[in-house]
Amino acid sequence: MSKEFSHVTALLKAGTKLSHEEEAKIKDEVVSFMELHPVRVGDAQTSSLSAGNAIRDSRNIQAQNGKHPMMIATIIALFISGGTAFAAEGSLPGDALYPVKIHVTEEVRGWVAISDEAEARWEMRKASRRMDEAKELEAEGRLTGEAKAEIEQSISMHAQSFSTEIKALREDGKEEEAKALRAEFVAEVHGSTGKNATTLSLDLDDVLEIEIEEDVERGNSDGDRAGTSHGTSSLSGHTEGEAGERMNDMGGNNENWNFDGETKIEGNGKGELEVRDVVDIKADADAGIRTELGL
Amino acid sequence: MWYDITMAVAEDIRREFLALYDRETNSLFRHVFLRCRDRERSKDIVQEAFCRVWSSLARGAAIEQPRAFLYRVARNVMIDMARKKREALFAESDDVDLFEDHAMTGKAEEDAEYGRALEAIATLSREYREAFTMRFVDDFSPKEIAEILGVSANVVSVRITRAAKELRKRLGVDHAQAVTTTL
Repeated sequence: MSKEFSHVTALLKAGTKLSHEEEAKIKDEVVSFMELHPVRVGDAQTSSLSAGNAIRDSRNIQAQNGKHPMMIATIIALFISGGTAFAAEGSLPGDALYPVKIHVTEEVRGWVAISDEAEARWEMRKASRRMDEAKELEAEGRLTGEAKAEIEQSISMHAQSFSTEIKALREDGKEEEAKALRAEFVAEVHGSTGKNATTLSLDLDDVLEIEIEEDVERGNSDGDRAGTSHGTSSLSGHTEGEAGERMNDMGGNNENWNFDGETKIEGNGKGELEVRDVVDIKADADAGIRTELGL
Repeated sequence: MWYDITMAVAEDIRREFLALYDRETNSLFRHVFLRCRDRERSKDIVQEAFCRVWSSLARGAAIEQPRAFLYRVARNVMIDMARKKREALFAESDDVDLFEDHAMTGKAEEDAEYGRALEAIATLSREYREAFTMRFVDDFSPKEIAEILGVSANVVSVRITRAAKELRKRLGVDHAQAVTTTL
């Protein structure tokens, strides 16, 4: 049908037009109307114009939808508590204010970290703060088994978040930054935990090892990429799982995490499954390397 | 920081809206003009429609199909104008000088042809003309037209088919007349 009338419709399309002057005049009017009626700041969150070629970055939208309510709640909590947050800064595991320190003040400070690099750095910083806490507790003779377990668990969690950020950095092609950051992490956190650690019996090898193995894979990536891509998809699954782990952690219960260097990590409930994933990924990566090396 | 994010979002909205404006002004003008055949009024309607869309956005509306939304708003503006001025905006107006009513830069024959095309469309009833031009000039799908007009897609399809039938008849007659004249 459209072909039949294409002559008529083409004429109508081509012939009915605004002149440039007319178009500019209308635009002027519309733009001045826009200036008189600006988007109200509070309403901007809900406004959207999702055309096929919408410019807005969907991540922005997620950030607003996800972060704002939480931000507001926590900011209010901070205002109400006043100096509490500052007092909490110096608290140690076992202190009444310690949960405020790790769940509120550190959370808020983390919001400033927007780039993957900044987030990785912040995870590293948190891990290192946990170590300082352990040292302080030890100096005070308060490093109980429970406090120790809590700290160890936090550090491994930060190490895993750090790994995730490093991966994101690499995916963006920032290989150099990723390497530098990992070296920093190894020096600042890893080096003083595992072998030559003070009192923490924590081995982060299995978390950081994935990174090393990926290096090997990348080195051999000229051949079959299947192994690598498999590894990558498993890893993203792991990243999602981390939220579950975190939730378990927030519940503040008595998981018993043992990092024994054999990549066998025990916990309870959901946490166990998530961590086992790490082990599986390791196995996948191993298999990938073997395939690529023709073993 | 929250304030900054929100300001950035507001700026994004502004940019998207202006992109919509640049994309759609001419086609919306054409759409309106083919319905009311009054150039000045069409420009007012286009301007008012964009202002209303902006108002919705500024008040926090989430517009999923901007183009369809814009046309629906334009349609409401036309209805409002018709009500206010108590004029039959959609009535056929034979006294409009078509040759002054569109931007012409081409040759005289092309303009004459344009005039005939406009005339052919003008012979259709308002509902048929609306459905036909939205389908073949504005390139909306029947489903989109149904959403804009607030009727079922079925009704739209029927209108398009009947409009085509009418137009075929009309163009057929024209053609026969042209043949007779030349003989």
